[in-house]
Amino acid sequence: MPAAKAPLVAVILATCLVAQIAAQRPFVVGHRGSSGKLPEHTKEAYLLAIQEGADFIECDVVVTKDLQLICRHEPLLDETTDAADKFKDRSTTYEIDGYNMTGVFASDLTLAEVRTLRATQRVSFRNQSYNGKFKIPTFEEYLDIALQANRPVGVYPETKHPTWHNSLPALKAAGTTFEKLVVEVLKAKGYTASAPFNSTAWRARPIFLQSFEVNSLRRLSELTSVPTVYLLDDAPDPETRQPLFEIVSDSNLASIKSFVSTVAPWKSLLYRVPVGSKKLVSTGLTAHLKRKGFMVHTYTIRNEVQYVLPTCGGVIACEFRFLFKLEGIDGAFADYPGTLMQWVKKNYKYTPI
Amino acid sequence: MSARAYLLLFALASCLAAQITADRPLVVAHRGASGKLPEHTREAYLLAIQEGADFIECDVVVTKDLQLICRHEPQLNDTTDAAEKCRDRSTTYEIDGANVTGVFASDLTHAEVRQLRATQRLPFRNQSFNGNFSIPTFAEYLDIALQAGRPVGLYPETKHPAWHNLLPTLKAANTTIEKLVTDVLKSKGYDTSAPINSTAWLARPIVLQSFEVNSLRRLHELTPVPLVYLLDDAPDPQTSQPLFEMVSDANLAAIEPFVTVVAPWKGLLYRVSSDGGDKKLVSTGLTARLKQKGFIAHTYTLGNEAQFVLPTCGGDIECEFRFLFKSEGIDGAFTDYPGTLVQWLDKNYR
Repeated sequence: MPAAKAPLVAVILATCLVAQIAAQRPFVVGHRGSSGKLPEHTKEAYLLAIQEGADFIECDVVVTKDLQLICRHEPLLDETTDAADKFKDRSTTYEIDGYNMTGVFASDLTLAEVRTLRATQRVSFRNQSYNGKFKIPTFEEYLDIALQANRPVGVYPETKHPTWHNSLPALKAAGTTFEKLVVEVLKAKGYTASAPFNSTAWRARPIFLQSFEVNSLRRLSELTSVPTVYLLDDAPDPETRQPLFEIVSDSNLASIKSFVSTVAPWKSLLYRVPVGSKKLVSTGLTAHLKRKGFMVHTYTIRNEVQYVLPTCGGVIACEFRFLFKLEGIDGAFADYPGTLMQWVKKNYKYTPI
Repeated sequence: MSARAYLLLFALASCLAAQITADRPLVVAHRGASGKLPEHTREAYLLAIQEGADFIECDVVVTKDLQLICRHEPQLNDTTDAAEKCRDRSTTYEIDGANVTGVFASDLTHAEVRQLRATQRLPFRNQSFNGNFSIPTFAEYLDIALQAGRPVGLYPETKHPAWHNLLPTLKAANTTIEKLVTDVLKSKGYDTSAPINSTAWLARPIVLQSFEVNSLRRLHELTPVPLVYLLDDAPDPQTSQPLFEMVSDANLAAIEPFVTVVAPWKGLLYRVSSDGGDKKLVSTGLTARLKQKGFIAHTYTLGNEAQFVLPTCGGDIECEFRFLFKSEGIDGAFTDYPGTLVQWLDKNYR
């Protein structure tokens, strides 16, 4: 090799190695716990996710009649518990985000009543054999599960339907807000010092607060400075009604930068398949958000073939390559956190949070 | 004064009165005066011109023998009597991912299309002209504009271009819908390279529109006529680019060399905010963004009926006009009732 080239090659090689080591690996978020295998949002699902190596476990927070916080994906309990049988007479209809929903609502039961419920598997082709066995955890119990793990496990709570919750008579009568209730519990468990992202304090008690409603994040940011995540769907913000293209415009992103650290679009917003083509093409959304200074997470990764990205032929590693290697996604929600973490450990230098 | 002098005076007066100008929004008669008469008929086009429309619009679809006609979609059942007259010709095609069943223009010869008569698509509009009017060809539509006695602009759309270009008849003839359209335009003298709003363009106004950006790309290779990219609350049917990607800086820069006008569906321009109880229209900023990037902004579609008027306006169409033209600064709009918009513009602009 010519003399001048050898040092150059060495430098390039060294930079490459350093980059490999330094490349921030993506975070694995146990979506509702390890919900592919166990009923979602249960102590058991959270513990399994931790056992499988998840960096974060996720709780969707909803409020009971007596203002206690529990982990459930929606206020309506029929699809993931035995509430429809145990509280038949309590079924009612509410309008949430423009849709009428009928069933037994958490906000109509006291915590004592919720404690009598048992969780069921929502998805019919997933394991039904744990139905009726597991309880519904409170938000506090969920935080304790994370705190008692033998490595730093982060929490990723979502304020569910915040506008709807804040208009409930129980909250109004108590002169409080959903955001205040959540932050009070976080404070009691020592999470409100976890700022900024990646600081020593944050890594000791990692946390992201997420919501589909930007104004909920605004209210949260007035109460705590822990990092927040703005979830984006292929639909307007349920409360501001801003359509997606307005949400991701330069001016809107600039206006939320001061209190939003991460934007998390639904994974289908990240790619498209041109008619007649057999390849995934990026929509450029991830790159756009990163350029504007946001971290980017996405949801939801699921092992079952019908959920894997198109053109991947059901092979989930293909989806992982697109999301993490091509797009550069910083974190993802997965129903099977074990599968994702195994791939992450093979493809990145593993470091704890 | 002699009859000829009166005629000249009249022509001059209507010329001056209805001169297309860049100083006020353009009125595009959506499928002709389609609020009052069956859409895409000579009669609807003539009425639009009589009411003062700046442009008349033709959606171009292709017959089996490669003739161009004006119809909103290749499927003829909703706006003609094809379902009865050609009962045995009903079939199903997949267009833009949806199955559509009926009698298709691309399965009929032009002679067969000439047998059809137009019907009013909307049940709450005037049904009394059903069965009276023929389906015009694209060439006939051009003649209507050329014979108007004042400059009347053309606004043709290439309908489902990717689907059309895959039809066996077009492939066998080694042609495209873009070539077919521009050949007819050329034959009628519409292939001049006049930039939009120039004196030459104002004398013979024309733009070409499509929902598929790649159709515009192909048109750009065939003609210098200014092009319009239509946006819906849905991805481009052929590239599948979602809306937020279409209006991103990168994409707008990529299409700027060959697209002059971007025309979003009006529902993309506003949202309804209930700040403090009172519902108001709030701009999404899309119009401003497009104009900032150097595009002219048109929008579709205005209709007089209360259910089509923008929310919070209580059915008052002037409220919609004020939002679109005074607030948003929209440069041109498609309307089913061109007369209503012309009258309001006459009162609100010089």
